[in-house]
Order: sequence, then structure tokens, then C-alpha cells
Amino acid sequence: MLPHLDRLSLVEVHFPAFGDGRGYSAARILRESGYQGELRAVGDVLVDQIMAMRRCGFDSFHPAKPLDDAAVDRALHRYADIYQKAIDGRQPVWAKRHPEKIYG
Amino acid sequence: MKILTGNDLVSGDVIWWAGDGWSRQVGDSVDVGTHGDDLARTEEAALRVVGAYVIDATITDDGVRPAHIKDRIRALGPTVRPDLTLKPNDADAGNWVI
Amino acid sequence: MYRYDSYDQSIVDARVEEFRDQVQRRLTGALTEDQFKPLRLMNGLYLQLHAYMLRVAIPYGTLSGRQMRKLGEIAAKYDRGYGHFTTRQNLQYNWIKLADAPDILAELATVEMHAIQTSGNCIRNISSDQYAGVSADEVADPRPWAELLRQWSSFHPEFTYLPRKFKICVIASDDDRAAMKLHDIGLKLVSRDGVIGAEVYAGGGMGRTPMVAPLIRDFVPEEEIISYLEACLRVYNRYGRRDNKYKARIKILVHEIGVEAYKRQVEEEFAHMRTLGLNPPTEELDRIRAFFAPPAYETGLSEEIDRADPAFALWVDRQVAAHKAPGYAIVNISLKPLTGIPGDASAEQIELVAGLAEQYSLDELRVTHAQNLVLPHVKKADLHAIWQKLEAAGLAEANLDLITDIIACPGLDYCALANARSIPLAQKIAQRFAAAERQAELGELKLKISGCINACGHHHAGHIGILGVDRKGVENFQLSLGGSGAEDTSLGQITGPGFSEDGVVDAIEKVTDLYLAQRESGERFLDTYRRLGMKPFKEAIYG
Ligand code: HEM
Ligand code: SF4
Repeated sequence: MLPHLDRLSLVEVHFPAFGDGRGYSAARILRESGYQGELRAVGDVLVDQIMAMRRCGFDSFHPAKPLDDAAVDRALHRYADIYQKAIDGRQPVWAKRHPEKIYG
Repeated sequence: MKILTGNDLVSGDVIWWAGDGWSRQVGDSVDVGTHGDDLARTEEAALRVVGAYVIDATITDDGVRPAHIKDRIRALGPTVRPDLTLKPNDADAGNWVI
Repeated sequence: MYRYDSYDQSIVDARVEEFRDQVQRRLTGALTEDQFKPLRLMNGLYLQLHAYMLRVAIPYGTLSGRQMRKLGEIAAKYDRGYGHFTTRQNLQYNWIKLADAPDILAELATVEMHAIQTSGNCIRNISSDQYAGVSADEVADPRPWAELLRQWSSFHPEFTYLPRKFKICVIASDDDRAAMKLHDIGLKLVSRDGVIGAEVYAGGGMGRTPMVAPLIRDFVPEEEIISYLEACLRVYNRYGRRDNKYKARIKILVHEIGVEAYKRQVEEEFAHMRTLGLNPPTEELDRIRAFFAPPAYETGLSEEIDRADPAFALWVDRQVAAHKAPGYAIVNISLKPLTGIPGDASAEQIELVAGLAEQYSLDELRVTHAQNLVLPHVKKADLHAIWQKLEAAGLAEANLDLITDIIACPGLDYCALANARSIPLAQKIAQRFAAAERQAELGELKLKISGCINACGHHHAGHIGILGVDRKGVENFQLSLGGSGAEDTSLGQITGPGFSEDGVVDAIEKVTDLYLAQRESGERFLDTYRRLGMKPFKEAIYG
């Protein structure tokens, strides 16, 4: 699929059970390969996982059981700081700690 | 007989179904017959118990005795800390679990 | 020691509030137990045999007096006055109320501690050598690396729902005091042309299918360790088995596809990962390293130890190890009193040791995978005063690495997964071999007991290992010989049919008698076993 990414506008990644974390890697690999379209998490998607999914490159969610919007909003804003560089462009704390270094 | 046990949702204490509610004493257990699983579901939904399950037990001279050693240890407390069991003053209480 | 900055603190504080919210949702019924369980496990909260159990991380086994004091306070205030130090440099409280758990985490956060990822299928507490920074033979202090990995692994967005738990260990000496090769990934720091990097071992572990981790790369430079580990984890996350939880650890993946295939996939992924800018700048490791700079040791100290008191001299010979700085020593505190519970410490003992660390050990303490404690920076001149205080608190047992220094998991007295009780057996063995001369005569002998096949008590790595099994509802014990969790890592072999509790103690006596009769000069039990093989031991036992 990777060679044809530029022709796709929606990719759905299915989570058969919330504990099945392969989808996080799949999402990152797609984004790292340059996929720009919509990336949707489908299936057993829980509010407590939304932040990690967002960080791995998902930008839309289609949970089997609907989520409470306010709870999603809280989950997405709970952590002002994060430790790793991922796909969402957020600065990890190591970058904030060393602002003299330029990060691309 | 079949008896129903689990842990209190809030405190985590080991509890036994006593017919009209939960007890901390295994001796208060009643036979739940074939209703154990239904009871477990309703009581879990009512937030009074967590991890409820049905076990085999017998009635002996000492009262209700769970069939498996694991549940006898749950009923008494850790055998290596008699002071923390339900029978802190009975030096031989640990023999009951074996 | 590492100190949190405002970023670290904000992350840990946010976690406490998140968990408070989750517990609230559980208590009001908004979350079912099925939904709540993975959330509480990520915060170290289990439902055990008698109550909830909380597992607190002691990252890479290092803590300050203040942190230790807090652990004691929590034991007194929220638990029943004690805690259990585990083989993974964690502390477990056995009697926690669900409603109290968020407050406990909040109290821990005030001393820069947490229970994050002490359970669940994620990267667990990073473990290390209890002598890190103070032993003369290390190439560098492994703890800055461990702290770097602690931060990297905390709430890692891609690796929080792995096929199974993932345990990483970092050491930096040829002497392995942390069972490095029995981890999912083991790192051993080495120096190459003056540059520090890591040898990487992957796919070790215990449990029902014990395996010793093979070397998968002989050098990863420090500035690339994060991207290399991301590659290792990504391959595992994608291809590790999810159909059977007993086959889900990375060791099974490495075993099934083969070391070479796993290595090749990791290298391919690494080639890609290293282009993504995932590695913190070297300044970040330098920043962390500064916290672990050697403390200001006094100079001109006396090397003299007054050995007039024979009980003290015995303790010194057993419990005190060489420190790299002149005039200093490393003190091992045994949590294995002969009639006690391996790894348990009362709130008062925890408090006392916290005070000793503050007064005598530059405010620093370590916990070991063998469930003991360490005061890492003690002046030789203070040893006697420390010994007296330990003696008064029942903490002066002189049995480090001897047959009564038993590792034992909680077993059926506390653990819902257990088949048999580990602790009463440990106590029986300790009593049988209690005589100090007898223990000394037997020398180094690592005895390890697990109450079930999960192997929390490291029985596969015991010179003598014992596994509790369930034989038609009756506790039964399997004996194994020849394991080691040290640099000569090996897995024990089962002797044959199992025993009752008393039977296994008798069997141990038979194998130790055979060792005493057959040993050649300088041989430990393990060496004699390796030279002779299982056969004569088997004959001695079942004969
Ligand atoms: C009482 C609650 C505990 C539970 C429910 C528990 C559960 C488990 C399970 C299920 C495994 C096997 C994992 C696998 O093979 O995939 C395991 C392994 C392990 N646990 Fe525990 N454990 C508990 C307590 C402890 C304690 C008290 C210690 C330390 C004394 C400990 C240290 C370990 C270690 C070192 C392993 C082996 C890791 C490996 O397989 O590589 N655990 N535990
Ligand atoms: S080895 Fe088994 S009995 Fe012992 S703590 Fe681990 S899971 Fe429990």
C-alpha cells in the first residue's frame, strides 16, 4: 500500500480490542511514509486512548461505542508535556529543555 | 454446596454472600444453588462487589469450608501473618487452610 | 540523584489527576470493572487475594531518605504497617482501599515517585545494578541511561498496548547483579574507542518458558539508543503474538522467527527510525548525567574497622562490599531475617533505614532484585554505629548470598495466581539451615522460590530453585538445580517428581550434603553442580 499513499484520502485502522496495539504502529508508519490524508481509528476505541492515538497520527475516530465529547476534550488536554517525539508535532520535554538546539 | 465470594468494590475486603447481603465471615455463606452467576452480575452492577465468583464448599464441624485452599486462605487471611487474619488470637488458625 | 524539573512534575501530577478521575468513574459505576482494569493496572493497582495491591516503582532501584520515609508513612497510614520489596525494584502494598489509591499516588508525587506502568502490557520500571555509581568495575554509571529510558517509556504513544509486558534492564559491569539477560531487553554499557554505548540483548525472560537473551547488537552509541529501542519495540509490537498470552512475550517472537531474522528486521526499522529525529540531543543525557555525578566524598578517611566485636565482624564480612572511594563502603541490609518474610519491611524499619541513609549514606539508598536494601556511601568509621541500629531493628542478619538469603514471591498467602505458599517454605528452609557456621560452610548459594509458573521469585535462576505446583488441590513443590541470574546466566533443570513442603526441605539438605562431600577447592554449589551434572544429585534425592 505504501507506494500508492498519495492517491488515498482515507485510511481506516481497525482496533478489534482496545488492548490490541498494532494500530498505533500502523498509524505511525503511514504518517512516517508521508501519508497526508485522513487516518481514522475504528472499533474498540476508548477515551483513555485518544491522546496516544492522536500522537501516533490518527485525526479521526469512529468508536464502536460513542464517546462523550467533554471527556475526549479533557483527555486530549490533560498532559501539557510529553516525553517523546511522535507524529503530532508536539515538542517533547527534551526539546523544551534545550531550546538552543534547533529541531527540524 | 455452592457459595459466592468476591471483594468489596471500595475497600477490597474479601466478602461472602450471606443471603441478604455480604459478610466478611465465610461462615455466614449461604448455598446459592444455581443462582450464583446471576447474583454475581446483579451485585457487580450494583457496585457492591468486584470479581465475584462461585465456588464449591462443604459444611463441616468448623462451619463452611471452601473446597480450594486458595479460598480458605482468602477466608482467613495470610497464614504467615496471623496478626492480620480474621483470627488474630488463635495460634492454630492457619491449620484450617491446609 | 535525579531530581524532577517542572516538566517531570507536571507529567506525574497530571497522571494522578487522571487516575483520580478514573477511580471516581469506577466508584460511580461509569466504568465497569472490565473497562477499569487496564486503567488501574497501568497505575500499578491489582486486585489480589485479600484486597487491592498497589505496586510503586523505585526507578532503577535508587531512592533518597525522603522518598523512603514517604514509603514508610504510606505503609502506616494507608496499609497495615508494612510493604514488600519485590525482585523488580518495586514496592508492593497489600491492603489498599480503592478510594485511597489516588491520594496515595498524590503523596508519592510530592516526593517525585509514582506507580506509572508498574503493570500492564507496556514498558515497565527500568531496573539496574544496585551498586551503580559505587562499584569500581563499571564503565559508566548506568542510571542516567535508565532515567533517559524511564522518561522515554512513560506514556509512550506507540508502545502502551504491546502484546505483553516489557521489562528493560541496564547494567555497566561485567559482574551482573541485576539478571540483565533475563529481561525482554538487557543493555550492558561498554566503552569502544572511548565512546560509551550499549550491547543489546533481546528476548530473555522467565515465566513458563524461560529464556536467556541472545546478543542482538554489539554496540549502539548513546546518541542513538532511543531510535534503536524504538525499532526493537516496533518490530515486537507488530509481529509479537497476540493470539495466546502465554506466547506473547518478545522471547517467543525472537525464538519463533529466529535471532537472525529478528535482528534483520530491527536493523531495517532502525535504518528508517534514525532519520526521524527521535533521539534527544546529547545535551539531554549530559543534563541527566550531572545529577548522578559522584557526590563530594571526604578524603583522608580511615580504612580501619574495629573488629573487636565478633558479631559485628561477621556482619561486616558478609554484608559490606568494596566501594570505589577510599574510606567508604557499601552496606547491604538483609530483609531476610530467619523467621521473617523475604522482602517485607515494617513502616518503622523503612523509617529507620531512611534515617540511616540521611545520616550515614549521603541521603541515598538502593533496593536490590534479591529483595534487600543497600546503603551505598557509608564511611567505614560509621559501620559499627549503623550495625548497632540495624541490630536493634531486627535488620542485622548476616546472610547476603547465603542459603537463607532466599528470594520468595508472595505466593498463595497473597497472590491470586499462586498454586502454593512460598513464604512458609522459605521460613522452613531458613530454620533448617539457620546455624551461621552451616550457612558459611555452604557459601554462596542462591535459593529462589516462586509460588507458580509465572516465576516472580526467579526460581529458574536459582542455584536451587523451587516452584509451587497444585497437585489435586494440595500444595506441591518442584525442585530445580543449576540456574543463575548472574553474568554466568543459566536456567535450572528440574530434578524429578515434586515434594511436600517438608519433603522439599529434606531434598535440599540431601543436595547440599552431596555438594559438601564432592566439592573441589574453591567451588561454589553451582560450580560443583555444573561439573558433576544432575545425575548424582538426582540419586542423592530419590536414590
Ligand atoms: C502479587 C501479585 C503479582 C502478580 C499478579 C504477578 C503476575 C505475574 C505474571 C502473570 C507474570 C508472568 C508474565 C509472563 O510470563 O508473561 C509475572 C512475572 C514476573 N513477576 Fe510477577 N506478579 C506479582 C507479584 C510479583 C512480585 C511480588 C514480584 C517480585 C518479588 C514479581 C516479579 C516478577 C518477575 C521478576 C517476573 C518474571 C518476568 C519474566 O517473565 O521475565 N511479581 N508476574
Ligand atoms: S510467581 Fe506466581 S504466585 Fe508468585 S507472585 Fe508471581 S504470580 Fe504470584
